[in-house]
Order: sequence, then structure tokens, then C-alpha cells
Amino acid sequence: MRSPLSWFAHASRGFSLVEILAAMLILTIVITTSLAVFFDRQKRLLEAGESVRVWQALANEAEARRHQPFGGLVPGADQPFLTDLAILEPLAAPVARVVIEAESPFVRRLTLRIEWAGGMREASIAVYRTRTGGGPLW
Amino acid sequence: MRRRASGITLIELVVAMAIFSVFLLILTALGSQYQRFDRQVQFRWFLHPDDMAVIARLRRDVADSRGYPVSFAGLTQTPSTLILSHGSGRTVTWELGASTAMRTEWTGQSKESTWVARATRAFEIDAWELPDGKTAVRLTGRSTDGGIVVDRIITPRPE
Repeated sequence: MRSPLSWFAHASRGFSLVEILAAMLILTIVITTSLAVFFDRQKRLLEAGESVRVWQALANEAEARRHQPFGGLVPGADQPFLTDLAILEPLAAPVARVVIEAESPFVRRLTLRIEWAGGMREASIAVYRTRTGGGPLW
Repeated sequence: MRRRASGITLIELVVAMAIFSVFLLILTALGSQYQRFDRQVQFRWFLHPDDMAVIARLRRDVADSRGYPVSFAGLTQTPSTLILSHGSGRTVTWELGASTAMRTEWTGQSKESTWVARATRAFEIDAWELPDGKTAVRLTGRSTDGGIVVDRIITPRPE
């Protein structure tokens, strides 16, 4: 009768090269896949962080433009931001511009846009201002 | 027939090392990219709920404010101290430290409540003049390497 320990006795001779290569291949696939998942998560975190920065800059500019006198909203493209853009410094080549369009003599549409990463990523927000005859409304 | 000697040949060893080298190369490349991205992510919003709470509460306080008293209860307006009048004898003060933010609500000269957020960013307050001449509060927060990660311009609601 074969002893239950006979397999170990057989295995004690060691592994063949093919077995070791197969094990290494499986290990490589597992570790590479795990790292790829972590890498993807990190990339998404980075993109989320960039978006948070950009939206802060857009919100600040929207706040400033809401308080700009209506007469100062001259229609035109590629106007600079009024607010400080220091928060965008870590981004790759950020470009911030405001486009003001006259929808009627009493309505202005302001499109605030920030592009970065060579135009690969962008975020924009539109603000409508109306001539109220008085101060800016809330 | 002569039995094969135990052990592996030089060719087998070289093949094994070559495959292992490729494996190490992939690991090193991914590891360095991982570190590069990790350095670039300066501020993870979801990991700092206290910062979010400070920004949200301060924003509401500024929106509800009716003015910025120069001094109150021994405090003066500085980059780390914000005093907000809420009208009807109510005042809110914010004292921002290197890693804490303390909000105190006052009625007259009596403290009504105190709220402290710990392990926060190093926040700073500044005045920012709006295009219509009114004054907004600019709240900035910096990461450990000194870069700006929070920049919010907050305006009071019109009366």
C-alpha cells in the first residue's frame, strides 16, 4: 500500500524548470494586474484633483463676474479671468478665458472655460447676466 | 542509457533569468509611474472631511454676514482670524491654526457655542475686492509642500 507521505517523498526531488517558469508567469500576471489597477486608481485620483482645482477657479471667476457692473460686460472672445489663477499652477499649460456674448441688449452670456493638458481636458461654466437697472441680483 | 544529472543547465538558467528580468522591468516601470502620480496628487478631497466641513461652514457664515468688524472680544482681523457680524448682536469668529480651525458663535460678548476641526490644512483668510467695490473673503489652503490646494472667494448675500 502506498504511504500518504509518498507524494512528499516524490516532491522532495524539486521542481522542474517548466514548473518554475509557469509559476513565475502566473505571479507576473497577478502582480502586473494588481499594479495596473492601483495605477489606474492613482490616475483617476489625479484627474479628480485637477477637476477640483479647475472648478474652484471657475467658481471664483463666476463669483467675480456676478459682481461686475453690467456695463463692463463687453461682448468679445478670449477675455482674461479677473481672479487669481495660482491654484492652477500644478496643471499642465492651463488656458483660462472668458467669452462674453450679447444675447440681447439686456442679457449677456458669459462662458468661463479652462483648458489644460494641451487641450485634452477642459471644464466650462456659463453665467447669464441681465440688466436689472439696479445692482446685481443674487 | 546514462541518467541525466540533477540540476539545471546554463541555458535553462539564462532563460529563467531573462524572463525574471522582464518581470522586474515591468515592476520597476509601474512602480516609478505609481510614485510619480502619487507625488502629483497633492490634495485628496475625500480623505479630508474636516477641511470640507470648515469650507462649508465658513462659506455659510460669510454668506450670512452683515459686515467685518475690525476687532471683537480681544480678536482682530488677521490672515488667521476672521470676525463676521451676523446682525442683531450676533457675531461669529474663526481662528485658523496650522492644523486646527475653531469657530465660535457669540451673542453680545457671551460665547454661545464653539466648534473645532482638527487635522485640517493650514488655511488663510484674505480680503478680495469684487468688481463692484464690495469685499469678499478669500479662503486659501496649502498642502504640506506649500502649494495652494484650496482657493475660494466667498461673498456675503446682498441685504
